[in-house]
Amino acid sequence: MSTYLLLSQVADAAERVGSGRIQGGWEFVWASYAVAYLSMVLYAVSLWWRRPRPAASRD
Amino acid sequence: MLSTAWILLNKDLLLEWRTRARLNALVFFALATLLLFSFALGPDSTLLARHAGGYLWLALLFASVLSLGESFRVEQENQCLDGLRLVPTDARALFLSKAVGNTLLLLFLALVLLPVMIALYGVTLSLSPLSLLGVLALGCMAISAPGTVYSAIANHARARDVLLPLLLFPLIVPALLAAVKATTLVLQGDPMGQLTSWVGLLSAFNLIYWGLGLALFPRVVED
Amino acid sequence: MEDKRRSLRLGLAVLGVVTLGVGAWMGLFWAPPDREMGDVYRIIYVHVPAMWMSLIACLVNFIASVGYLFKASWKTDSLAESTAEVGLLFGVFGLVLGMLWGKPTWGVYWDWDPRLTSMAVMLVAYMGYLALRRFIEDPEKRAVWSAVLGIIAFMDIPIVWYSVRWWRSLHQVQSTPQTVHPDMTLALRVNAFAFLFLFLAFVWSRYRIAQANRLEELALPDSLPDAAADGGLTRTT
Repeated sequence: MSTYLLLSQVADAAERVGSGRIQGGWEFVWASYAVAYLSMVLYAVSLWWRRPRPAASRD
Repeated sequence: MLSTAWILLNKDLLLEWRTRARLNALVFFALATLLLFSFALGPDSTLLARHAGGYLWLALLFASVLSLGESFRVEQENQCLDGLRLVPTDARALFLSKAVGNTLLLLFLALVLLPVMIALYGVTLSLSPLSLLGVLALGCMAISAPGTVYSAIANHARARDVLLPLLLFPLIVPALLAAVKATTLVLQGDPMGQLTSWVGLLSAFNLIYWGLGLALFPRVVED
Repeated sequence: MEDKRRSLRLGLAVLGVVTLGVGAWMGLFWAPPDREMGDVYRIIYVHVPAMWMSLIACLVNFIASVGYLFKASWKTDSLAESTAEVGLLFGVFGLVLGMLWGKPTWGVYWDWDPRLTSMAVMLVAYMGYLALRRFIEDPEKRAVWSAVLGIIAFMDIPIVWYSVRWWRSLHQVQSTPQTVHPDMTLALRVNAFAFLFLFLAFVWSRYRIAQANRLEELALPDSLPDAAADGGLTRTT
């Protein structure tokens, strides 16, 4: 009887182990992806803003 | 090339000694910096003694920015650099003379600061004075080699006073780490025998940057 | 010819965005959670590729700098300028990502980790590079001196890395590498390629901007150091 109890406790713990010792933290993940993608978008905009204009506009 | 470098070095040293004003100002500046560290960080003597190496090298680094900036300004003011270039000297000789001159200046500063540091921070010398001298010399060389190249560049750019430290400081980080660690070990003792690795790093840094300086300096000053 | 190049550039950017979308989905949802770090580890799918791109940028900048000193050409100078800027972009936000990863895992935003510390030092070095370029008026001097700077800065990277690692090794236990789930490797690879495509598109666009700036600065064709291989600057569009 006690072995079954022990086994069920182990099974319980094993189930919890699957998702990692650090729980949650999704706000950091979202923040990181936002920072990364936003930086690239802003840089792309800055590139577009500085794009070479055709020579005709200088005449 | 070496004899030319020697002649140029002697010219610079003579000039330095004749004016002496820059030297005095540098010494006072470095001393003031050391004092400021004590005030900023509090009178806890054990703490000060433990970090004395760090303060010493920071004071030297800040003073070096001033001295490096000056070393080419003197030439530029009277357009002497053009005069030097007209003489058929190797630009590498110019680099050597400038870099060695800067090293000697910094080493002189270090030696002046040393007794002040000992008095202010209450440090003792655990290892031999020769090893301390060696570490000081290597550290000063490490600052001077890239510093000479950068000061030649920065002198012709706008905002030269800000540009030189901006360029020099990130580059010098490994040398600073090694010099501070090595100095601290020499002052406080080296039970785990780490001094050789830090001195090794400092020497490698010097080897690479004196070599790069010799190779690249001609491209910096050529027309 | 110009149109073909333009569509190639646009295609590269689109490819990058699409791959990035796939990579984001894989990284955020498809890859399994980590045994130790749970879901927070997913930051590596943006952090690591960003750092890789930054290092590639440094390498290309170095090659372009050396190239310029051997044979002056506005092509190499413009390449050096663009890789420095794009490399700084990826490096800075990559570093921020590293800090955002540090907070939940180490408990602090910054713990002087050797890799992040070395990267921070190098980013300041390349900021100096860009500052130098901004502060020199003469295009030829600017090209030579920033080439010298690029070489010196790049040679410093391994030295900084070793010195910071030694500096830290007395205080920190190096983390042991764990066996990685193959799904994670795939997700990382996809994201890395996405970043690579975008990196190339950015560098290419920035390169064009640099070339156009050179054209504006040098009104006369005979002031170019390399009239033959000037990257089309003497052609009028």
